[in-house]
Amino acid sequence: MSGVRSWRRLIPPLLSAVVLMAGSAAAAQAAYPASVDVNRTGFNPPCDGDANFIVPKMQTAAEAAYNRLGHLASDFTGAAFTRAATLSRTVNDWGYYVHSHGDFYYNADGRRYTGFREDSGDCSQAVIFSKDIKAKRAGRQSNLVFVSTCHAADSNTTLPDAFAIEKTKSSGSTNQGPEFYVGYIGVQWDSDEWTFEQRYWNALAGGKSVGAAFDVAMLGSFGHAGFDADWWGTYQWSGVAGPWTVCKYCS
Amino acid sequence: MSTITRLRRIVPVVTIVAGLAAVSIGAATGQGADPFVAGGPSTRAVPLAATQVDRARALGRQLAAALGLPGVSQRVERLDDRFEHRTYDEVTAFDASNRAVAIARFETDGSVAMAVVLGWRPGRGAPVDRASAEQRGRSFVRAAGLVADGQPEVRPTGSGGWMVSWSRVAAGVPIRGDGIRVSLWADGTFHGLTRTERTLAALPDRQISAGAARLAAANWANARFPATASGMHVASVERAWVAPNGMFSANGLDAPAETLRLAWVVRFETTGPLVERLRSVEVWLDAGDTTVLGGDVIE
Repeated sequence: MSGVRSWRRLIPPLLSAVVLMAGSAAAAQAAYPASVDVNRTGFNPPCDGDANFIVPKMQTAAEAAYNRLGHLASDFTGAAFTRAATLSRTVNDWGYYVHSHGDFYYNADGRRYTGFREDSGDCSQAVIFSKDIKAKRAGRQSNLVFVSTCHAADSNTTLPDAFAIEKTKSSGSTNQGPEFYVGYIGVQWDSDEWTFEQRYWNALAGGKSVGAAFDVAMLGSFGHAGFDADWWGTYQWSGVAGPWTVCKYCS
Repeated sequence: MSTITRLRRIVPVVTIVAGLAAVSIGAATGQGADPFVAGGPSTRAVPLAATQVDRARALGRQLAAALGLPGVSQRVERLDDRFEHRTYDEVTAFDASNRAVAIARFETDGSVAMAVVLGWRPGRGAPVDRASAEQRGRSFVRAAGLVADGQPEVRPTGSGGWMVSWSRVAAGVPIRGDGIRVSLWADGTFHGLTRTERTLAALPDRQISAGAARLAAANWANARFPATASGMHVASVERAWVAPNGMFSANGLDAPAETLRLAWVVRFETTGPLVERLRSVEVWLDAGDTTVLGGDVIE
């Protein structure tokens, strides 16, 4: 009986603690939003006449992964994934994932930039250029940026810079802050991208660093021999949202 | 396409544990009762007896010596991977600062499934050429206790190193995603190795011809892409073993299927405005009855 009373006495403070912890977690997440933009319309009826059932899996997996890393992740597709909406949100995003059609596009200024197409819910899909994102973010720090499009990690890609991620590889005792950029080299098939991405998110969920997760993901079972991807950032970073206060994986 | 005819394991890396290698844990994997669902992790730790932990550590040390993997201490976990339908022992090696520096994975029979040196180490030596990369790839495969016959595909990677790949072949047909791959830094030092060998379904009693597969694929494309099929043309028709997937149907396959099937892979390439959304399409037709097993796209 006395044991029961003791437990009952503990309930209010335990509940308070739970509420406080949940509150602080929510506050922390709110501080580090991440957007997951996925072009589904471009690869589904009526635009290409067929349904692609792998892309929604990528969307679900990415959103869940960013939430596990401590972001408040939101996913956008169809009319919610437009150039205007993406550029409006990017100002506040710490994390970003996009799956779409990507390339090294000519811009109206006569130069070429890496970019990707919006969804917009119709078949006329504007390009979101890296220079557009760069102008909006104005050098603001990013955490994990995963660009799931073709050509996103070609050697001439301009997207890391848009997210203020230096195109250098920091490993061992060196770091360049809590930032990491992942993208594909050349053109890649969806099923290989899905395999890579699931292996990547799973490795992160298992506590591997963003770089170790990349190396593990690269050793997947890919259907096409030419699969390739690349990264820039801090290899040993844990991937947890926000600026560093204590870096578990850094000396 | 490489012309590898077979892959086989020789004695598991560690002869010292030859007896232990016979210990088959036989943990069931697969999607039957508890399938992988997109959004969740695909691996989960499963209990491992102390003797099995010791065996995995021994395998890890032996492989580290054979491949030159770094590390002064190890952590062992048995993982059930529902995305890849396999169970393996993962041995993570740490340096003196407790930083993870290498990972090795072993099948439950003790053979090598994967090894990777962690970190960015492009190498300090002079870059090696294609022939040297192939030779070094072969030597690392041997060192890992594996055998890969035939000519590998050797290609430079975008990050500056080399990938040396032996595709597994059955009944004269390549098995997509199966085989051995070795990744090397630019100077030819070891970066990573992976071996995949999945279950194959029985060959169909009768196989349709390439022409019949091409016709079936064209009909499929006309039905599924009525407005845009004119912008698609057949680029290749070839046989391959494939893992059925959920590309073209809501069939509940969030992961590639566990058992691979013989298929005709018909690839379409696109022209005109369609290229801006869809660059290539593959449809995988069952080699026996043209049932659509899945497919792929380049967006």
